[in-house]
Amino acid sequence: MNPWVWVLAAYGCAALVVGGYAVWIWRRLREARATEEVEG
Amino acid sequence: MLRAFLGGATAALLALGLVLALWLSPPDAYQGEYVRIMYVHVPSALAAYVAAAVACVAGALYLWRRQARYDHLAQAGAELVVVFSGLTLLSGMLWGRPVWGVWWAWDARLVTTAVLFLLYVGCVLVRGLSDDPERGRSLAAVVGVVGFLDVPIVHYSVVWFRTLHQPPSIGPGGVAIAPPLLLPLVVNALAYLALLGYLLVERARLAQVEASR
Amino acid sequence: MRALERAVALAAKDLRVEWRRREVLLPSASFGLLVALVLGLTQGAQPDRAPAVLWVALALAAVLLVERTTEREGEEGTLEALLLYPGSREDLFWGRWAALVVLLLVLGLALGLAQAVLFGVRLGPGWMRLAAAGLLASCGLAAVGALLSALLLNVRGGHLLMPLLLLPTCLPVLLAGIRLTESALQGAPFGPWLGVLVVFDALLLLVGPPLFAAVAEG
Repeated sequence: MNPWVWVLAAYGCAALVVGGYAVWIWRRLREARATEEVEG
Repeated sequence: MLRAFLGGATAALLALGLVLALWLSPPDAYQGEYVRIMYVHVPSALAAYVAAAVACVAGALYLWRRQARYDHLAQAGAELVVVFSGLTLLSGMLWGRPVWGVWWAWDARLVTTAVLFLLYVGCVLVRGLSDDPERGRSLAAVVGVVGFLDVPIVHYSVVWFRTLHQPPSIGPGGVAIAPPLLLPLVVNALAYLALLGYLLVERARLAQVEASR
Repeated sequence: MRALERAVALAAKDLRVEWRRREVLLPSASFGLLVALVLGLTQGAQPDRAPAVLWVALALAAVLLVERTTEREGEEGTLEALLLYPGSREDLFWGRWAALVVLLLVLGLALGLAQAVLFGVRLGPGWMRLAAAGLLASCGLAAVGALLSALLLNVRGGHLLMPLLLLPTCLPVLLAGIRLTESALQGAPFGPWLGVLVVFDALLLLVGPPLFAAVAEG
C-alpha cells in the first residue's frame, strides 16, 4: 500500500480528533452566548 | 487580545509545521515517507504530558485555594490529556503497522501513554459521575495530581520490567532522529504546544461561562 | 500522640468489623483464587509463570477488596459520621491505610500459598525477602486504596471507576511485585525494584493524607 495512505490517515486522525474537540468547544461557547443574550 | 494572538500564532505554526512535515522535509533513509507520521506522534505525546502537568498543578492549586479558575484549567487540562494521548496512541498504531508490522509495541513510552490515557479518562469521568459537584471537582483534582506524579514511576517500571530480562525491542518507541528530521520535529512540537495552549484557554473559558450560568 | 491513637482506633474498628463479618476478605480471596485458576488453566501452570499470575490475581482481588470496603462504609454512613468528630482528616486516611495493609497482607498470604500449591513452586530460604516485598507492596496498594476508596462514595458508577483508576496507578507495584517475587524465588539480587516500591510508597504516603483531607473537607 502506498505509504502516503498511512501518512494521510495519521494526519486525518489528528485533524478529526483535535478539530472535532475544538469545534465542540466553539459550539458550546456559542450556545452559552446565545442563552446569555436571550436571558439578557 | 491575547486569545487572538495565541490563535493566530497557533495557526501559523501549525501551517508551517504541516508544510515542513508533508512537503519540505526529506523522507527517512530507512522508513521512507512513513517518518512523517512521527511529526504527529511525538508532538502529540509532548502535548499530552504538558497537559497532564497543567492538570496536576491546576488541580493542586484548586485543592489549596478553592478558586474556580484553577478548577476550570484543571478540567481543560484533563480533557486535553485524553485528546492528545489518544492521538498519540492512534498515530503510533498507524506508524507501527506499516513500518514494523505490528499495531502495537510494548515499549515503555507507548504503555505509559496508554496508562496516561486511561487515568485521565477516569479523571474526566469522576468529575461527571459525582452526585455532589464540589466533591467531583475535588476528586478530579486528586486524580490529576496523583496521576501525573505516578507517570514517571510507571514509565521506569515498564522500562525495567521489559529490558532487564529481554533485549530492548526495536519498534515505534526507539527511533534515532537524524538531523534533517530535527527541524520539522521541533517546529511541529512547538505548534502542538501552541495548539495546547490555545485549546486550554478556550476550554477553560467555556467552563467558566457555563459555571456562571 | 492523639493523632496516632485515633488512627489506630480507626484501623482496629475496621479490622474488628471485618473479623466478625468476613464479608470482604472471603469474596476477594475467592475471586483472586479464581483468577489464578483460570490463568493457570489457560496459560499453563509452569512454576516460572507463578509470580506473574500471583500478582495479577492479587491486584484484581485487591480492587475488589477496596471496593467492598468502600461499599460497606457507604452503606453504614461511617465516613460522614467520622467526619463529624473533631480531629485531623489525615488520621482517617492513616486508619484506613493501616486496616487495608493488614487485609492486603492476609490476602497476599492466602493467594501466595494457593499459588505455591497450584503452580508447584518451592518456597525455600527466599521467603523472608518475599515477605518484605509483600509488605512494601501492600503499603503501596493500601495507600492508593485508602485515597480512592472513601473518595468514590457518592459517585455513580464508582464501581467501574475504581478499577479504572486503581490499576493503572498501581502498575509499578504490580511489576515490582512480579520481579521481586521472581528474584526471591531464584535467590537473585533484587535490582532496582525495591527502590521502585520505596519511591512509590513514599510518594503516595506523602501526598495521600493531604489530598484525602482536601477532599474530605470539600
